[in-house]
Amino acid sequence: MKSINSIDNFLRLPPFEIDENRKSNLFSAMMWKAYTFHYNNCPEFQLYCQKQHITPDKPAPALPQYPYLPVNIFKKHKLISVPENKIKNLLSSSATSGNVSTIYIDALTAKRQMLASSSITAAYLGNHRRPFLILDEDPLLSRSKNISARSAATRGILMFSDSEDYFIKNTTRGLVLDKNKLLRQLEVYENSREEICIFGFTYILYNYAIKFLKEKNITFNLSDKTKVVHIGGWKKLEREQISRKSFLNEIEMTLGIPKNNVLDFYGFTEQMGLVYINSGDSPKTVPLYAEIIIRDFQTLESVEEGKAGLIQILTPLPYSYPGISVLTDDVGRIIREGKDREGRWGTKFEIIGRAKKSEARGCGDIMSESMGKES
Amino acid sequence: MISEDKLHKDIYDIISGQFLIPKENITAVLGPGDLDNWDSIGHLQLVRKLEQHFNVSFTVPDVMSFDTVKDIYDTIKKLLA
Repeated sequence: MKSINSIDNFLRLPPFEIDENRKSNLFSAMMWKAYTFHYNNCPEFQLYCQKQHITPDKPAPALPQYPYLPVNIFKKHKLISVPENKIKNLLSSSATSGNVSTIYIDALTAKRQMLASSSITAAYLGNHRRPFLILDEDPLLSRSKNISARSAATRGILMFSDSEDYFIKNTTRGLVLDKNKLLRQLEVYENSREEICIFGFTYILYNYAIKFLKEKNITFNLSDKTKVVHIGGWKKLEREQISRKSFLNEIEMTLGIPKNNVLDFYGFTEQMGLVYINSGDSPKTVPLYAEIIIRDFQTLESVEEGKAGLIQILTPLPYSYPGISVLTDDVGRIIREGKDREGRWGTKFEIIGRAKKSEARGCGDIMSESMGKES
Repeated sequence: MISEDKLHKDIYDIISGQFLIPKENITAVLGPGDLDNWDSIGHLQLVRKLEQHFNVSFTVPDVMSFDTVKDIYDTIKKLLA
């Protein structure tokens, strides 16, 4: 491997072809570059890091020693590492609690996000573009500077599409499925045997399409190259007691495609561009551009493989804001390192769910202790 | 076979129409992010228009490699060769 000196060149490397040993030094070097940049360009981040005694004049720390920003910090603080006139878009998280994270995106960060997400996704979908059936609204209808996480995710996946059909309309009665259009298009692609992708947010895909087909006892036998991509997590479906196993079974039953063709995408607004994908019931694989650490709910120390805790993700990707090390309020566990059954290198992990308020001691405390004052 | 001049003119016409800028403002090094409306959506709309006009299909790496107008020109030229 030739010498990689810049984060932008690093993000052009293939996401799953470099083993852990070769990744380790490279990733550490890129993280230290990113850390030094944000330390020098974001005063709030610098203050936060100084309090933790990790400064660029010292040797680079081991990954678990990097200061991490609790994900909630982006709801309360405006964190920017570039001149404000360079900001092109404001990315907002979906808000279940009322408060939204706002992430400030410049052209370089947007470019890096697109590069990373398309390379990672291509490792699962391939490099060719195909028709997409989308269980959502058309994101091209909105060109606001403020982009919701849902819209951003849909825009990102459109890189893999050469034509789209949308089946959901947002009406005064809420989201409405165009059932006739969905049935018509599924029949077209069942007959043509064309390789397509069905895309939607997990909850919407299930509740508006799969459940409808199942209840009406309608089944299709789509091409076995058809992929189902879903994103957004399991929280709502778990409340309705739909297990991942029954979700996969019902997709297999109604659409006639193998479970391994169902791809579950995990990512979060604060590190948009990085996606963690698993097919069927396999674990997720961390791409070259990121690393995962699991932290104990109470002590926030990093825990060993197999133990559940809060998910922290490190990545040198963000340029316009200092989201390079973020402690989420999602709970997960590292399964193992090494290759998966398709030969992808990277740490394997699973998402268990969202931390209960009683579990997540850390986030509020870290913020008040480390940022000093709120902006 | 389309001539290089015609290819150049057509690409500049399409970019001018997509992003509503005069052709004189388009240069070989112009690219995504240089114009407010050349964002991810604008990029996809441009890709579709180019595919339709030149009757070509881009792969995902093609679309990702379009850092400048010159990249677009080179890729289409290669696909039409």
